[in-house]
Amino acid sequence: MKAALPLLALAACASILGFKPSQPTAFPHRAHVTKGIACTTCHQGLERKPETGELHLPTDATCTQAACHAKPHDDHPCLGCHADPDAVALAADARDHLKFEHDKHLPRARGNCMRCHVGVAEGDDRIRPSMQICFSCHGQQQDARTCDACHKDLAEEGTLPQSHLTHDGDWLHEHGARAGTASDVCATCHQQPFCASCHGVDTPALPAKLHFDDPMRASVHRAGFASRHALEARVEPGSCTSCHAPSSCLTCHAEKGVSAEKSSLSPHPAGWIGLTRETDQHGRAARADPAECAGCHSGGGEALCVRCHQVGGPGGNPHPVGWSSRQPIGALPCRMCHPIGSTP
Amino acid sequence: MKALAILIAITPAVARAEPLRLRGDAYMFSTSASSVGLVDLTAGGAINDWLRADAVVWMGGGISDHDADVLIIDAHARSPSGHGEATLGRFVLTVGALRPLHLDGADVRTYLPHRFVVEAFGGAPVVPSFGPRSWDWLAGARVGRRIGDWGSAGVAYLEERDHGELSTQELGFDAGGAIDKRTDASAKLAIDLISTAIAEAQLVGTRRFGAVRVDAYAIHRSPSHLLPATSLFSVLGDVPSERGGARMSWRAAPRLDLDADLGARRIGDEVGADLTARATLRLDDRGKGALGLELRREGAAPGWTGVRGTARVPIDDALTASTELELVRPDSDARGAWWPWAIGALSWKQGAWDAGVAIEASASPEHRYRVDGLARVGHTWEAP
Repeated sequence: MKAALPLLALAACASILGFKPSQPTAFPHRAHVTKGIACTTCHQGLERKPETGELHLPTDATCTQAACHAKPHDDHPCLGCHADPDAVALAADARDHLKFEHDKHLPRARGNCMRCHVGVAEGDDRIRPSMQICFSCHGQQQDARTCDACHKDLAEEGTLPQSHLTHDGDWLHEHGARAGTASDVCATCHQQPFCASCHGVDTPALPAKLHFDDPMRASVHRAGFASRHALEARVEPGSCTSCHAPSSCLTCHAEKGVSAEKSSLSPHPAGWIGLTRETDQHGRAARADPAECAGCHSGGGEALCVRCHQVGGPGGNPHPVGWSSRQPIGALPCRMCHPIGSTP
Repeated sequence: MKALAILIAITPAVARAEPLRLRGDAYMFSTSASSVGLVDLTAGGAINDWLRADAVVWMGGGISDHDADVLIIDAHARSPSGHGEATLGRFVLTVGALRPLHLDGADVRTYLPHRFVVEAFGGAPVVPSFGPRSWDWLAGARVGRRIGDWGSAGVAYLEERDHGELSTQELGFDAGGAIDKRTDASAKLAIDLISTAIAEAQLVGTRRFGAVRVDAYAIHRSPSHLLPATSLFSVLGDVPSERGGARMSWRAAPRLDLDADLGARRIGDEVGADLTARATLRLDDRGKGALGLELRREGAAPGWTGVRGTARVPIDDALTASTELELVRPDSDARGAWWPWAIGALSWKQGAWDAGVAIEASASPEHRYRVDGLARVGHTWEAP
């Protein structure tokens, strides 16, 4: 009994992890084709039946009644051992999710199913044509990248790309770079409401808040983000402004009446504005993440800065060495510190 | 919404794969101090093979500065031959290496011979609640070319005006594609043309080795160049942040995924390490139930260390229980030594109806403790 316990534990672990005993093998299509048996001998009605009703899949009776296997080697169902047990479900799935009709394709392929089902020649487990096979004739759909020419209702299905633009790994952080070159492909599944739920200017609530009952859903603002957001903003300056207007910080902090420091309405620590380069904190912090300053001090709040940093003021020159801009001196923000007539 | 209804009414009914949908969600977020209600309506669908429309409208009290807004209302048309498409209305636009734009305007894309793609857009940046405007507009274009069957590259330009003043002038380069069956790569580069410098650059490469996927990434971001040039803070200098590293995802077993991210960040002369390790165990083959555990360390000062656990367990076909727990330890005690956060939720889905309730509890720099109640009821209508 003791010896069996580790085996039982191992079996339980394997089951939890999804390992399964060996499956029946895929149907030997290749062997049938090389013997010259036409596909339509078994897949009857493909050339005339529409893609509705029963699937065009053979049954045990098809195998035995065609006189090919009139005497089966045992009494078990043929397809119980000689077919992928998921084959029927996969075929039904394909019919539900793809716009496709065999009867329209067969004449164009001159009855040669292997013009599309090229996988038959290579083996038995990859029978369904890849998208590249479709594109060999339907190149226009590929050029226009209109996935819905063949796929039905991709957005609702939740089907993820498998060959490229795969959404695994840290897709949330990658998707911007990927969408840059393939926004039309993205738009096949992700319609405007999906993009706007994060990138919209005036979203009512964070996506993580609206999907509070799905903890596995990826989100930039997941879990206790409200506590961490100041730290996260500081370690990756500029990341917030990728989506948020610079004034977002002020809007939220003013509404809630909170600051970033205890027992103070000012978010800045004591000695924030030092008189010397060594003691000054705000200049260094502002250069590291000016977007953070702009979160509260943009708009009319900039007047606070200009009190010291205007030309001739005690704040000195805030520009770094080698600073240049194509903005005319009379445009914003130059004119805030450089009154008309002053020298740059 | 009215425009969408008219559009639907005047368009002849034809067979289509995707039905027209209207989804309504009502939310209630309640704390001991206040309650907030929100109604979110999302409508959309393909009216026929060449025209689709979408709209998102929300209204609520105590949510933001506004009580209601139209997030999206747009119509998207595509030529039957597939040679061009256009979007009109309020929508989010992603063009090459340019930042996503939320605009009231139009976007037109044409597929030209020799696999060239030309896209042009223009309009006004969205002002919440259709607020006042004063000569704020944006316009831009992208020219791209598809490369074989595997990728594309392009160059894009954006100019934006705020009160008539030049606020953004950006040039973007993008390239990406599937280099072979196992390798993907993409890159984007955005250059600020007003005070010439790189505003943002990102390079991502992916290689799959059977059940293992490895990504290498490098990101350069300059906050001062991401701000509108009309902001005083855009002239303070240029201390870009850089981030680089590698991620590995491994399907260790049919239902077990392991992920690790080893990265580093540099801001000026400060360097810190970013480390994340994550395990996800699906409780069934389709992943309806799942358990997750994540450890994370952000080392760039001021850093933090955290652990997060998640669980989603189907109780029956309609009912699902879920929970998410997080405990964060900031490096500095100045704003509290520990920041715990937890949520427990129950969700239900039956036909076109779904609902969820949750209790969220946390302690944060803002609140010694806080308990929120959350509830949602949603319904989807489809036609036909």
